[in-house]
Amino acid sequence: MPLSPGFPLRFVVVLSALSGVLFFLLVSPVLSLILGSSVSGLILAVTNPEAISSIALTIYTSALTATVAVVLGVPLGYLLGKYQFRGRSLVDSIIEIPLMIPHTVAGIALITIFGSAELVGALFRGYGLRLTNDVVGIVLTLVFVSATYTVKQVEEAIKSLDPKLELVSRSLGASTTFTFFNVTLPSIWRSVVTGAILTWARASSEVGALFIMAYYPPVASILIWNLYAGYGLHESVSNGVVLSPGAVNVAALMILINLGIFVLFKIVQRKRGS
Amino acid sequence: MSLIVKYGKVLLLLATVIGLVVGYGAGYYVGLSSAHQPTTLLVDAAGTLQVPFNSIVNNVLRSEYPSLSYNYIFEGSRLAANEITEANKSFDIYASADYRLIPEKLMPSYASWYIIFASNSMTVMYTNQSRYASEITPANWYQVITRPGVIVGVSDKDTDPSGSQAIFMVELAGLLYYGNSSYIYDQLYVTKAANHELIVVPTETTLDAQLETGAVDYVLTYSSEAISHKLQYLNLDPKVNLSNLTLANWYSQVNVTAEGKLSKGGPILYDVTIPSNSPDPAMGEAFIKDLFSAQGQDILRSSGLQPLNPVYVYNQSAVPSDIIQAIQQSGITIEPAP
Repeated sequence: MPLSPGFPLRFVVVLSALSGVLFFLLVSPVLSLILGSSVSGLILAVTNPEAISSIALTIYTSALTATVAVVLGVPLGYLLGKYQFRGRSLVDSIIEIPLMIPHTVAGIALITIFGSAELVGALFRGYGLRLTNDVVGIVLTLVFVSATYTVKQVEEAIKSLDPKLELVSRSLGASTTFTFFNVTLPSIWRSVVTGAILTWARASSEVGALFIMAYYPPVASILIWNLYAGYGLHESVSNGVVLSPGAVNVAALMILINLGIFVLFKIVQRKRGS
Repeated sequence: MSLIVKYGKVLLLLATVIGLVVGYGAGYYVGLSSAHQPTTLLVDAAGTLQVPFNSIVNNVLRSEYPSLSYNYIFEGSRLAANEITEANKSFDIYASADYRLIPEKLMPSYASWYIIFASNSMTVMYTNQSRYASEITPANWYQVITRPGVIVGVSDKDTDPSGSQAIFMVELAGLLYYGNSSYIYDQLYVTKAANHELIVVPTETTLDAQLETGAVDYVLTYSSEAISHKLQYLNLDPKVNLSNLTLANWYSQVNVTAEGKLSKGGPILYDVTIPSNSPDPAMGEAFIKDLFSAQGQDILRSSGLQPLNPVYVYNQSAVPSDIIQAIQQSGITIEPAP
């Protein structure tokens, strides 16, 4: 492929070299993990009920989290994007805090209010409900750490929306609600989906806050830690009995499944765009 | 433009439906093994008990309770105790690698009895890749691990008893071989620490992985870890390895401050209790009965722990009678705990 005259070859080569270093750093660990797990190891992970159950739990709770983020985040993003009000930039900054604090700090912060001995947690405890552990605790934690992505995407989309669209709809007699669902939302659906995907990704990768708020039932990231800490990197076999699949195997399985889901998302995203 | 809007809506609906189906399907699968099951066991215990306890649950308890839902936290015993006392979590079983933690932290609010059921010993664990692996022996270990360039791994005394016990082992070795308890201690915890050649982790069991990946050369930990992970280890002198109950006085010559409290050297003893806020004490009892069954005792042994006979019980009148019966039926005698 001949380069056109005036092509800044040296410049591009230097950029490519630097990019190559980063690309290698980003790709090689994941590749090494997947290739480092033997086929028999992967089969051990796929047939292990605990591993499958925790991967399914990860998918389920991430999906729930993304749904909650959309249902509650679109309204917030809309308000922040559309209206100028006193304290708007303060609210804007506050909702970014969960994204910036260390994950263990997030877990500790959550437990000081939702733990069963604390303010809100104690209220629910009175009705026999626990807000820590189980799907409730997991989704509560995941929404805290990942919903902001959806809010931000929606907020930016609303800000760059042509205000004439809504005005025209209203001037033709449509109610505000009708306008919202039939004019505004369809125009920003791409950003909503992007936000939901970012929320999902962030949710399924969470571990630090979950150690504190919702250790069990374990999502995949926690199970992999349990396996690593208790049995080591590889499968544990004693007297011919398999004690546990290795952390490497379950990790490789999880990455493959996650990759599959995200490829699916990307296909759907692209199809809609065409 | 209205055409694109319509087209987008259909796909949005389709994606939502697919998402809901996938989500529901995953949720259904999870529901099969969720905590709403009638039989749940929640265990909170020392990291070194993960392998034998999981074995007992999967090979013994599950055959009695096929639809059992089992969840656990295994970590440094102090951290595990904090889950109950600080984080207000409830479990059916708490077991510790330092028998003094139940009276120190859990009593009286969270526990009223305990049973000391097994012992362990300290060792130096390593692999073929460890520096000077071919030279190290039970007679020269304290000289080899202190050589410059050798990286040693221990756990944190403030989160995990084995961290304190590693310090006891090193201080006792100093007494035994040099007549000075600080001699070897300083070489490791002062000199090596300053050179970043001492790695301190919060949970003893993560040191195994550190060893496997070559991040450390030698780990001061329990022999059970080496045995259950099939790693190399040394049989050290009973005067330094904290294994012998009759040497308790010799061990008590050394001490360390952990979590702000002074703690004296002593034999490594594991104890277990059913916390008073246990959600399902009957399951806790079932587990402990299996722990003392012949199979349970075998599992303990094969993971490198020493099941005790006699066992030591604190406040026997508060212990559920089924458990006392199960112990006696296994031919194990009971003595009162100190």
